[in-house]
Amino acid sequence: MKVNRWETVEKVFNKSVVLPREKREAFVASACGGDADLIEDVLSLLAEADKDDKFLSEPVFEVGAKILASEYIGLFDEPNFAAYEMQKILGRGGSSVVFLARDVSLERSVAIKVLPAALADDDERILRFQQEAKAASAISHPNVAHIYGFGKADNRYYLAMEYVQGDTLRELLKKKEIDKVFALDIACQISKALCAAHKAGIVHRDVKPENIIVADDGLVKVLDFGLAKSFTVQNRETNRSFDASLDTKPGMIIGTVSYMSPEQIRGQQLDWRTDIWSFGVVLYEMLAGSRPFKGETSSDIQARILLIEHEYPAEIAEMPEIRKILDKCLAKDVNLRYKATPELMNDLEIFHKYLSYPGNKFKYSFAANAESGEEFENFEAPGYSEENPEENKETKEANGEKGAKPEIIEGKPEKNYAKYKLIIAAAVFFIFIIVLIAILY
Amino acid sequence: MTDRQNITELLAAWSDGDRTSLENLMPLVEQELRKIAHNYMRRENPNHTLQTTALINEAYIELNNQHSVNWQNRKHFFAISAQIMRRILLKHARDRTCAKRGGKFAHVSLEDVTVLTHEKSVELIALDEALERLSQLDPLKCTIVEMRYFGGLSVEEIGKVLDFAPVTIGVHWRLAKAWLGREINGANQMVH
Ligand SMILES: Nc1ncnc2c1ncn2[C@@H]1O[C@H](COP(=O)(O)OP(=O)(O)O)[C@@H](O)[C@H]1O
Ligand SMILES: [Mg+2]
Repeated sequence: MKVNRWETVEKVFNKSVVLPREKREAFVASACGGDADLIEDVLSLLAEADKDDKFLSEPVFEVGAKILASEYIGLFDEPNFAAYEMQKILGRGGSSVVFLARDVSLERSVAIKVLPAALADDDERILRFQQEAKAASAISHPNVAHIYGFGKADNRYYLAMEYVQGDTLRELLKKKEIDKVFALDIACQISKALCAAHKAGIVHRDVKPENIIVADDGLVKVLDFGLAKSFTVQNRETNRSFDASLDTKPGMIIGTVSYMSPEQIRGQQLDWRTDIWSFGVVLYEMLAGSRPFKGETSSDIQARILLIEHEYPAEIAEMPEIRKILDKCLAKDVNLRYKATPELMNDLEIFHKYLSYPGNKFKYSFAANAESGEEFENFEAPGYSEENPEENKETKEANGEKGAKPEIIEGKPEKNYAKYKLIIAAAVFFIFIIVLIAILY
Repeated sequence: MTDRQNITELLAAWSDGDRTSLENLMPLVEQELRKIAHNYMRRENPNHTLQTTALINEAYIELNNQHSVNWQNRKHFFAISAQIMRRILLKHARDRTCAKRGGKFAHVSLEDVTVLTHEKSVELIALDEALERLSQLDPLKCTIVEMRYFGGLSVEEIGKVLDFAPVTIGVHWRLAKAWLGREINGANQMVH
């Protein structure tokens, strides 16, 4: 009896749900033969079907697969190290976990990245881990998390590093909007870390918000040199310590798709300019609140990265200088990107200073302008005026630039006079026309 | 090796109506899924989308003789995989919402560590209970929801596995979703 009732509900629901909304009620009433309970049943289901909610819209399969895999390899098993006392889990990656730990002898906090015991004899993974340790420790820079040591204990490989107390850029992006001055500050610091890495001959290859921590004091640290690789072919010494077999091959994708450069997707030879691309995606995301290349599946995203030119939302479109910087990061052709990371850093610093000290005119050399020949230019960022001294003070302080004063140079007077002359000429001409019309009539 | 032969036989026995073989089948399939999921994680980064069908297919191919891919078995295999996922997720959701846990790091906030947030866990538990009731009323719809939501299969893939037109699957899905939604919201209203 109950089953029959359900069959009726199903039949009426399926017929009515495709009808225009205003016709449904009458249809349901007649189809249910006036059975008030049945009518109510179908109508409440229809109301539910009309809800445009996210209910069941995102399958949890992937979460389940991650749990399965993590359990399988004992990812979260606490290691038992004599030198370090594990305190809590700071974060995780695909096959490693980072613990907050106490260094027993030095009595300080450290971050310990460990591989699960199940991977203790996975040669490829160990080699990659070792390479990560080497790459990160080859860079000594305040914006790169400092490496203390690498080793094996309790049948687990581990990497001990400086503990950075703060949020990853991903967490910050999720939590709140990052205002543009802060975004530029973060970007400047990331670019400094990349400069140091590239100078040491190391490409990060996995620049993304998850791998950047913004410490509570505003200091930005780039983490996770897990995919890093040396690119200095000339330098045999450095090259030998990195294993060429860990090169990416076409079709074998490591790294998150959204931040991957076109050459990375194609599995081509990579140099520092792949980091410049990924950096561009991160900067874009900080300013726009969304990524430049989006898609339903990773294949869609990859296709867009390869084929579709990025577009700018209003937040970015109103800042032509940022557009230029981003264009030079997100050029699909590597040869059209910044040729050297310090150029990028320089452009970012100039623009950051400009945003931090609004109302001032800067004379500057913008690398992003080099091609167009506009080597020097004056610009004024919209949205930042002296009317808002409070905000400016705050951001200046947040940027730790309390005392620093940027170089202020008056704009070229000839240029301004030329502009005025033109305006006056236009006005005179306009008045002349009006007078002429008046006379003629 | 014997495990794999076992699976094929157990699948066959199960589809012949031997319910008890399911109990023996589940842990074997689960073990295989774990291994394969792990390989996926190693190959790719965590934020990468796991290709659901690829994973389950791989498990299926691993477990079966490649030459005798039997659609009937395949269908059961997909259904079982989705059920396994449902069970695993539920276990985690319960752990997550329960204050006392066996895990060593139960005392710390694992918000970004565990892959399930508290809200998601509560949602999952409510959904599981509602699904249980749906399976009494309409087992086919329950299977479809399981395959899509827990098994991650698309409407087209479910159609293939269950041998229905995708449109039909879509029609079932729409009502199942509305019914479950009402069931869960209704329960909430009663609580408050
Ligand atoms: N030195 C550190 N201090 C604080 N948290 C860290 C540190 N290193 C890593 N983490 C946390 O752990 C997460 C994973 O670390 P990561 O090195 O990126 O691992 P994976 O290579 O597996 O991606 C990071 O996203 C971050 O949240
Ligand atoms: Mg990482």
